[in-house]
Amino acid sequence: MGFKSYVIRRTLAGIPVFIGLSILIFTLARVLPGDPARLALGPRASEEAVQSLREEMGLHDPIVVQYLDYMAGLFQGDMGISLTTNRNVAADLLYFFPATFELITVGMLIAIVLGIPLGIIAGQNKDEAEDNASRLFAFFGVSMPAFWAAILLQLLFAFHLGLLPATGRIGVEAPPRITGLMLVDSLVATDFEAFRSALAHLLLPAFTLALAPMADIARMTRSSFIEEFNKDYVHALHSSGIPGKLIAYKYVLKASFASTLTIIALDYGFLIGSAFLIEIVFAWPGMARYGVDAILANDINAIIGVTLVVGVVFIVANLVVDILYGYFDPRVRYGGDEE
Amino acid sequence: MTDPILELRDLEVHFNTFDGRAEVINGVDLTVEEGETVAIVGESGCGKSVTAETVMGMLPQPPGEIVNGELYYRDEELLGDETAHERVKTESLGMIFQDPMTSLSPVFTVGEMMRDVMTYQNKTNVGWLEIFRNIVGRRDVSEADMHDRCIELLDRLQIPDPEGILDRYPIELSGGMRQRVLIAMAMLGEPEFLIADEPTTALDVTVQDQILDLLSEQVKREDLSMLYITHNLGVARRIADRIYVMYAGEIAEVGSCEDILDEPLHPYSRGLVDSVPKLTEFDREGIEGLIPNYTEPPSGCRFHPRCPAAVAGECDVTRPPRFELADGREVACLLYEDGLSPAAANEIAATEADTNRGSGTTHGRSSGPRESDESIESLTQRMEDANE
Ligand code: SF4
Repeated sequence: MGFKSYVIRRTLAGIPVFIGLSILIFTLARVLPGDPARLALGPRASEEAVQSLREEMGLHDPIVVQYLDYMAGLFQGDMGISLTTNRNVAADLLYFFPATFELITVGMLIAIVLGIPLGIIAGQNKDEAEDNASRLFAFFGVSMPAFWAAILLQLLFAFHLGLLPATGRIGVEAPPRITGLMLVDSLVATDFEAFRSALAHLLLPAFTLALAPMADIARMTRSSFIEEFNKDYVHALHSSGIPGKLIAYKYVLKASFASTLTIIALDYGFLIGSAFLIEIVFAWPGMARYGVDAILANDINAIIGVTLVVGVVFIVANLVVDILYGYFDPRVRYGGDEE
Repeated sequence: MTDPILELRDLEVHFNTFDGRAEVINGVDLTVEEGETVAIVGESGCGKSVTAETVMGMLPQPPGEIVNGELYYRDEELLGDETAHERVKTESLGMIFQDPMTSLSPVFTVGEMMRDVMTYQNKTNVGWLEIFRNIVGRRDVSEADMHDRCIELLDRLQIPDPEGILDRYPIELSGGMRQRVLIAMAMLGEPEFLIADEPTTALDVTVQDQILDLLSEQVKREDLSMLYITHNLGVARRIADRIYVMYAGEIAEVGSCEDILDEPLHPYSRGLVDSVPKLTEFDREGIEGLIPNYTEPPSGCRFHPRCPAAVAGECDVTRPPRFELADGREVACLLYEDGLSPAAANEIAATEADTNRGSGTTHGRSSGPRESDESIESLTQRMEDANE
């Protein structure tokens, strides 16, 4: 079975997950206490007005019909009107999500680029000074509250050293919006001034966000590296004269990377959760404020929309990782059986 | 006689375990002559693999510790000189492993592994730049040359579709194919000395036969010397010139294949040979009991708790030295003290064994190797079961 069919199978497997997820979110949102129509119109609206809005929103229909209506709309890019912004939720999300996406993706890249070497160094020097230092760091990374780390980093880099801006997304005029990703848009517009500024604004929040997953990745890389290093084939390769460094950085690393990938997928999903807090501390114009406002206002369509996006990020992250997993470890492509 | 290619003198290896210090190898001497295949035969846990690992310089230390002993390869001592050992290992030694399922990297293709083995042949010091270039797929050696060499070796090991195999991952191959690939990889480095640690144990019986044939073919063709580790007398007889019977970290008996199989002297070897079914009578005898505990090995002869011919007051007190009965024929058993002739001692051992067990143990030609394989297999299996 080839790699291509593996990719197709994995992708198709994501569809039922998405449907299940949407049913779950939709049902949960509908059984939430509070009357969305009443909330939207305010306490002083007349009972008739509330009734007619409920009619309009389809709140009287059975929940199955409501769900199917919603899904039908979703495929046409209609996620319902947000009660707070009075715009279509889809348009709102399209506006806010790219900023969040840019933040968590760059954060994850930082976590990977720093976390993996940390884990390898620790794994290679098991129980020695390097290992202990990296474990201590990992311990801090996991246990430090992100908002606290955020404030410390702001104090240090923005106020004391003045190297990086403390808040916001860009300090010059923004490039024309194409993807909504500031880094990409500025490059497309070949506006390097904007790119530099966007990057500077991005570094602190992304790094703060990266701390926890970085620690996770380092820990995972370390333990799978150590485990892999004791396998028979490592001895066999040694005995056939392949240098130790090559065995470590080529053979063992590739084999142990599979389990690190799993952690990366999980963490990527969680990042969107921690991003909510980080966005507020760094005044990052992403989905966080929108999501929080929606929850406070019991703005059902917006809540469903935001939650769906978070869910889809999870699904896609897992899909990408599954595919990479198959690339790194051929055993996975063959269903994981030994024969 | 010329100097042996490999000589192990008075090896002692201890292991630090939770139960204390285990004296796993207790004074092993072993020689392999140029062009000779020597088999070490013994049940699992007798220390034969530890011996092989020591020769290969792959003994995990700790928990293992080489307490005493010398290893000469072409008159060069290796146990005291790590760099020399490393050099000899990369230049002259080749190793074939027990489990072909786990001895190949699961995440690279056969071709990739073979190319790496070739690229770093006889190189002991490799810089970071070189490592990096390799990882991004660049090598100094010509790809075409390597390709040809791989195909040639895979062909020689009768691997069908060698071109295709190079692009396969080990998981796509059967156990027998993987073992062939492992042998091919060991041959890539053009070793002059092979160490094979039970290379057929994990395979089906029919596949075992093919692998053995292929292996002895390679050994003959390249005029290699080999140390072959097995628990299987039938296999040893097929491949080896001489056999060392090992029991509980000591050499029990040394002799040519015919010597050991036709006229085993040590009561332990007798047990091993007798458990090979005869064509005529087809009776099976195992050896009662287990490999002893290494942290508190039995006093005197380590075999005495299981020995049918043990003499009380002697065997449990005196450690038997190795008596050389004829040229290249040695046995470590007190029955052969005072220059007792092999025949006479054998007689005693046989009668003792008979009275002890009440069944006849005559010598006889054992049957074809395949049946014998199975029988020893079951014997060892029984021993392993009892061990657990
Ligand atoms: S020395 Fe004694 S116990 Fe040991 S093998 Fe010989 S007869 Fe048996």
